[in-house]
Amino acid sequence: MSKSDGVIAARAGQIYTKGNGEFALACEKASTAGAVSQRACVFCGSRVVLYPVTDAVHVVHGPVGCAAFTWDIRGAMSSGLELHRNSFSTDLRENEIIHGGEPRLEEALRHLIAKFNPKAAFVYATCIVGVIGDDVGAIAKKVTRDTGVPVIPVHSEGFRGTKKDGYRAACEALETLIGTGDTSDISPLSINILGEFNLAGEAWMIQDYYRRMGIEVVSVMTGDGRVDDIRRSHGAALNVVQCSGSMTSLAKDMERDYGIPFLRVSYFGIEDVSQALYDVADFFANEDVKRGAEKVVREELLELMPRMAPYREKLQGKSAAIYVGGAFKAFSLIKALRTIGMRVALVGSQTGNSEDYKLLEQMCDPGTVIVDDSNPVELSRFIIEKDVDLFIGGVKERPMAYKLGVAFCDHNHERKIALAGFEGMKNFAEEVYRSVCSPVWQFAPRRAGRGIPASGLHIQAEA
Amino acid sequence: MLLRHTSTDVAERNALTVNPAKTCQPIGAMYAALGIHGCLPHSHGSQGCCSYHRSTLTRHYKEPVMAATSSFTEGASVFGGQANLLKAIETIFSVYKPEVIAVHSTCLSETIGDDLNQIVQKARDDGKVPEGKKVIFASTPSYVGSHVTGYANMVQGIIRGLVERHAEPTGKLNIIPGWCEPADMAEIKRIALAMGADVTMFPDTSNVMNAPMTGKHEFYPRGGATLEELSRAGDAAYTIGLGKFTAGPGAEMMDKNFSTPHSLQDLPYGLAATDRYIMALKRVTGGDVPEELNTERGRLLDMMTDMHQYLHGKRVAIFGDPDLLVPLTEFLRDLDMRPVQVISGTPGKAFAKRMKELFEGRNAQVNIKNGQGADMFLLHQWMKNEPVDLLIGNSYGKYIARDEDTSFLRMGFPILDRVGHSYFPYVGYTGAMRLLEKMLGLFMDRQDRDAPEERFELAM
Amino acid sequence: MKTTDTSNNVPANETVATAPVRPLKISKPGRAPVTHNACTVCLPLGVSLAFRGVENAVVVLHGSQGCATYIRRYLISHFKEPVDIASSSFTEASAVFGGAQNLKTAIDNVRISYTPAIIAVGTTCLADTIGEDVSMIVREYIKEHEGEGDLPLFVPLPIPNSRGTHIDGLHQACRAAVEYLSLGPEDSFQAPAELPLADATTPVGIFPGLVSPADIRYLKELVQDCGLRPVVLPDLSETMEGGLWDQYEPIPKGGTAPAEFAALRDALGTVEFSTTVHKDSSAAELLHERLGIPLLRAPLPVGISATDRLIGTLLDWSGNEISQKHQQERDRLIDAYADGHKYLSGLRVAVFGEEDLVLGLSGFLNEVGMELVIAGTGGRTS
Repeated sequence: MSKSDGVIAARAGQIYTKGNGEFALACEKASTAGAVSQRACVFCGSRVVLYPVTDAVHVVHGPVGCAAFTWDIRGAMSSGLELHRNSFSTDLRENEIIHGGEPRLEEALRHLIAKFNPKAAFVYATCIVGVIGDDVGAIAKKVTRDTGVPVIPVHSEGFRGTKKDGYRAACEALETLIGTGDTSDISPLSINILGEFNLAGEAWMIQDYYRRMGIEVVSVMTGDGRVDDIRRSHGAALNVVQCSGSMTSLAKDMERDYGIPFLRVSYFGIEDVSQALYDVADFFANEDVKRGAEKVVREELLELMPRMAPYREKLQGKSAAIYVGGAFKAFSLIKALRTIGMRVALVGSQTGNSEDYKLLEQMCDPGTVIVDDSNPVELSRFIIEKDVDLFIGGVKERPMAYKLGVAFCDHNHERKIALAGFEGMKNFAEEVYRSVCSPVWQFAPRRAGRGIPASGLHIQAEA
Repeated sequence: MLLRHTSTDVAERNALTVNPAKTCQPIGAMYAALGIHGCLPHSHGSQGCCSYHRSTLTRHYKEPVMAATSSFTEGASVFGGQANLLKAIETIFSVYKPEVIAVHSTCLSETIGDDLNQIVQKARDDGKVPEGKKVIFASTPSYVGSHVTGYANMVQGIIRGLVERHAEPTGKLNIIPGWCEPADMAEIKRIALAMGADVTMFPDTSNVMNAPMTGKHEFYPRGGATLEELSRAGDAAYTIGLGKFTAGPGAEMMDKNFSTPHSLQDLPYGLAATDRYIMALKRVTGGDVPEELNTERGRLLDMMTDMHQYLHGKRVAIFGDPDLLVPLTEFLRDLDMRPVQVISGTPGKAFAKRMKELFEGRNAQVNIKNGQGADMFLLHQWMKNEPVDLLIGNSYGKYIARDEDTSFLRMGFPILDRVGHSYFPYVGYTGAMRLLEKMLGLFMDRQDRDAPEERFELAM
Repeated sequence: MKTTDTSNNVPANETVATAPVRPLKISKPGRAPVTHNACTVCLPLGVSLAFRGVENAVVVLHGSQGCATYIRRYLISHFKEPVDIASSSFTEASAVFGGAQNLKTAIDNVRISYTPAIIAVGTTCLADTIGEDVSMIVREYIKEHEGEGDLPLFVPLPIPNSRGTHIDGLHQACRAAVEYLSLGPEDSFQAPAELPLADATTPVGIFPGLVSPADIRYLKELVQDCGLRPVVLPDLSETMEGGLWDQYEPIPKGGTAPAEFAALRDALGTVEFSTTVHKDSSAAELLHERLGIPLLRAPLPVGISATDRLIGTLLDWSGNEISQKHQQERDRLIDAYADGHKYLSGLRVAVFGEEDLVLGLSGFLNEVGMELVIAGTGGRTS
């Protein structure tokens, strides 16, 4: 146990600096105990994937904490019902821990179904449920039979792996709905959008692009999600998968079960979103669709490019650190940062796999630090060593960046502006500019006296 | 649509002020005088002036404000007010027993040519001023300057009438705060004490204009600079004036009359101005900045960085007094906000110059106007033409804020429809945190109010 | 200068009579079939927060990674400060065969990354349910590492999650901290004998429960102004509201220091804002039982009567008079009550939150003439 720099020996293999020897990065490991991982648990993975299904009730079966901590935490927007924004918990206590929580779960489900008449009910099993041995499946069957509302168990006990296993459990839950709806009137030019959660209305923007290309979107899983859409999603001709970490398993299963092929895309950054639209158009090999894609891209870029220039001018040459959940997002972020003239000095993810990291290594400049399942002690050390101007991450990284006088962009649950699509690129540039060029940093002890220019004040806020 | 007659066409007006962004000198003199312990202000003019000033001060501070008046009659207006004032001085000392009477003039007494110096001297000569008691005065014609000028004039009246120089230096520091709230004055003093300075502060309205309820009616509450302190102020080592317009002339007078060197700083609103105030104190005391103040600064900075993303680019219109507007504008600028419209009814070229310096080399489009023609009507017109996210100013801004549906932060004088301003400071680091809290609260409340349901979010 | 009417001063030791309150219909703390938008969070959050206010301490939660991460996220969102909490990161195997080894690894790694003086080991519902005994695991760990010079102090917190809410967790963790760091438990893992002795000024213990860093700074100042030495637990005043940093501080500066824990043994008295917490969860009660230290347990002091009671008690203990500053603050508050009462009269108010906050606020609302019509809490006390 070397104590010199606070790096835990077990974690040494999960940090790599490009250029330092042959590339190798350990990943897809359980978090090292005591390392203060930024990851959450299996439950978290399931909860974030299924959360945007708006017309279902989401019942967290367990003690109150898991439900309380995930109450309306994600700006996954709905165009209709907002059942998903409630926090429903069976609030298990000592009595149920000893005698079992099945009766309480059954009562809770019957109560909620009677009260809200939802299209479905998801029941998330938490750690406790896994060890006290409640048969959630049996209760689900019983209540489904009695009420006619599908009750779907989600096997998301926190200790059963990592967040990725939670994604998997969520996909399995969705699969119980898929294939139960009527697909008769679905166009041959049709897709499902997978792995898009409609944060800040992003799914609506993406759907709009596809509609303009003449493509029918059968379902979005799960942004602004509707149970009835999911039921008939097996009628789509193609699955277009974003956020590959969470939804690839579903796409693979749908390919196996319904013969629906899938494409992996990203909607983040000009290059990637354009590529996504072209790839989908290519798949359909339809001239109208192709022309539609070209038209969408052309129109959007004409609108976008002039608005990007002032930001690029201000941000040219600045450096950034990226630490996000899925590695796929990191690829897009590197490209997007390059679009606005910034370079990446640190990139990491909570759940990347070895393929992801190989690709990351190829994309990065020499000297860039690549890290898997990192923690505050490491990240803060890299912020200082690499002297970055910007940190891109989630809530847990934000105060750390600010404490050290570094700008921050939330690319996780708490982002409030759409960062996907063409318009999202402009929003991203603006968001980064607003923080990186803020005059407040002139007062930060670590950066004071470095002549950080105050904001130009001349970039007009968008109307 | 309370101000439905406000049009968007801005026309040059030379003769007409519509909804003024200032008031007249005597009320400033009255407020400054209340910062002397045991002082009864006296208005030399018609009864109405005194009554208006008292009621405005009471509405703002929610405190009883005692002041006497010469109660001019038609006769006095013709033959001069000397007899009225002499009679008044006699009556006041026998009935109300103040330590000091602070006389200020009004437009009427100035116009008829009453000479306060001569009348007060006569009162002394006639034995109408009891032993140990004082009468001071300031000339405050309403047709010159504004309430800001009146404050500055009374500060000079205090110096002329109460400050003396003896042989023995006290080594103390004089602080002359510009016009700010009693809570601000207390905070200014606290910071100076924390820096290890031995302070005489005048005027000091803390514990006068935010006096506690003690169960008794106290004609002269416990606060205020005492005659004893003031009489030794000429022996002080140094004078710091805070606010060019309200404290500047007084600080210069201390230098001129008593050779106490002086430094003139902005009122410490915001981080940078507070830094400068503390550095000025440090130059005088030579001591280190104590941990207490460093911690407060760190906390403010933490709040600024935590919340900077919510402030960027927010457009602000501000109106008020120059000594508030200059540091406030600087603070907004440092928060990455965009002060775009600035109005002060108080005249003075120095103001526009300081404001321009704040934006030098910044390519910022800022409308700044003060003095003649700078009124709330013009501000409203500007706001109609170029809307803002936030309006900052005294209670009279509420009409514009309502008409334009703009967030509104009350700051300045008078605030007639809210409480808190006299109790909680806006100066200093913690005051700046309060200012931030208020602004952020307004922005976030508005966002919550205006958000469509799907965008109404728990964490913002 | 006129003197203040002394009859108006804070009553030194008189119990303040509660003003008549309109009868409020009290619903029994029964259970709805489902908890819809809960008013509480879970017990380990309170445990974790308590030790954020202990100097140089790190919390390890024995359970799944998510518990630590969710609690971090929640606390960060509220305080806007970094919050590091370690986890023993249960795997499926640990859930079946026990997580002792994970916990020991976690402790190893926390020692490397944070070099804390104190490690508090909390549990989660998962660990409770599979019957993990964190005290025993900690004891084993200490034995295995006997003789290591840099071994931190340990505070095991075997508090079952199912027994209460975050507020219970906070109070119970404070009690455990006092037990281990002030008193030394009966089966002491490491006696707190090395702790320095209290200095001359007379300490008073303050267990404020869940209040803000600014509240804590106020309470410290108040105790000092009463001529006493405040020992606050948890002391979040600096740890959860600091400035910017030059270097990253894995454990932020501040928190209750070892000397302060030692000083609690000589406390003149303790104050705890916890009328609704069970006696067995109360640090104040523990010091009272073991050392006979007098105590005041009251709701959160909001408003004049409740604050009078607090200040009166402190002055009673110190034998001092109220300082002019606080007298003036009180007088100014009454002035504000008078200025504002017309705007508040008869307004109907719903309050929800932790029990002692709700109680404190209710008293205040009653004082200013507002009408409390609904009071909600997720607590489980009657």
